[in-house]
Amino acid sequence: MKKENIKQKEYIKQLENLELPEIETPAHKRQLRIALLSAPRFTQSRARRLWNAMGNASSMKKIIPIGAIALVAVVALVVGVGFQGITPRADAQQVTRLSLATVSALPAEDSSALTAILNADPATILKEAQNASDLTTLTYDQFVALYPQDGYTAIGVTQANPAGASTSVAFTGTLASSTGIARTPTPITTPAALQAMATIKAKIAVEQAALKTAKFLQFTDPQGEKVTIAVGSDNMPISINITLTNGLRVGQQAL
Amino acid sequence: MDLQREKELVERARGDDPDAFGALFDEYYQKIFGYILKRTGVVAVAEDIVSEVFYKAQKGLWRFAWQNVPFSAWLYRIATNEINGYFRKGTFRRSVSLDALIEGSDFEVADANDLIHELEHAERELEQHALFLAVRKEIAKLPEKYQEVVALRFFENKKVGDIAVILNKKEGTIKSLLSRAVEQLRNSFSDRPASEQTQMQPFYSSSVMDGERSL
Repeated sequence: MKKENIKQKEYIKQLENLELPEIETPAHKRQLRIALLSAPRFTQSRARRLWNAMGNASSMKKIIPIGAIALVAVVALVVGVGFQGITPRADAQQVTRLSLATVSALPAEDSSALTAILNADPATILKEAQNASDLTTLTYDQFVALYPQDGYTAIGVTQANPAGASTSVAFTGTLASSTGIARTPTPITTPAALQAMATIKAKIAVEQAALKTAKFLQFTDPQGEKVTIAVGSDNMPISINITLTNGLRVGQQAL
Repeated sequence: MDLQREKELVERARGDDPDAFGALFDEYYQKIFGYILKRTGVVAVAEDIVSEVFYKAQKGLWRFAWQNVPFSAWLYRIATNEINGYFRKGTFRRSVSLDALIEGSDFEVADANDLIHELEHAERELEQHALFLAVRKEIAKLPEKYQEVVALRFFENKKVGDIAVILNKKEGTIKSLLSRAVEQLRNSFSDRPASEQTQMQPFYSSSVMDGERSL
């Protein structure tokens, strides 16, 4: 019996020491990540919204009788369905959600490059858009009407700032810092980052050339500034323009 | 990832935050893929099943109630169920394909050749682990309940308590299953024909097998 136990233990040790394959599939991982995060399925189902609105089911059971839960559920469902069906923001929310998922799925280098090109962190801004109560879509004509001088290209302006000194918007990220917009891109230095920068720039240039097919979002950010985002056909933000409360406008650098 | 951080991410992911789900995905993709691969021994099947696992996790996240059961344990549980389904049917039928997910997402698909080359490379790499594959083959002959505990214990290095959480069983049950599984596995090795013993030399040349012969 004792011998049997020793054998068993040694055998277990052998299994524990078995050399295991450590195989990685980064391309599959990346594809799956993109698919999951940008798929419309990621959007909340009505049932899920209701569940979240109700909070944790087990804690609800402790404080509210079952009948009340059922009543709340029915009312919430009716209100939820009605609200979802009539909301004018649905389209803007969907565009924002898809764009945020696309940005989130970008590799780190592409993400840094996009941030540098747009002179703002698109993920932060899209999250602000998601939470904005006045999020809406604009048509191409409305967008152009808003920016008649320069359309979608560099929305830079040179204007006296409150301190009286001339503020040249060179889109290096410094303006974003000085205006308290905490979305400053990090410097692009490595060869891989430069390569990513070139790729993203080229991609955005193609999208901007066909701007009429882009989608335009507008909302007021937590600082009270009007923000307009152009979103390309592949859900990538291709332009971010922020109208500051002091009249300045900032946006991405001309390509 | 500590439990508090994981809990925060799960809550955010449930609240429709793709970043949070992305962080959970990044944390656990490799672990879950590795587990499935070690159970099935086929890279293509592992890729399919891991896609299904994360798809189901994403779809069912709103139902996931945090009761001190880590998200990772939940993923392992989904993966275990999918693997068991694969072994029962002898094939894996996806409820969703990666292609369909990408198609529905309006997202530009990257070069499909990358995926094919990666798959081929991974299959070749797996073939290098002959001893592991031989042991895995023996494990795959065990009843499902034994396969689960052996794989989680020896392939994933999980503690008995963790396995109990993943499989939703008592620790005592897991210990008992492990003991019987190892015993069966040991017997299956001793029954292998001599021609196969070279491939599995470490298991045969050990003091265990020597000891057995000397009995």
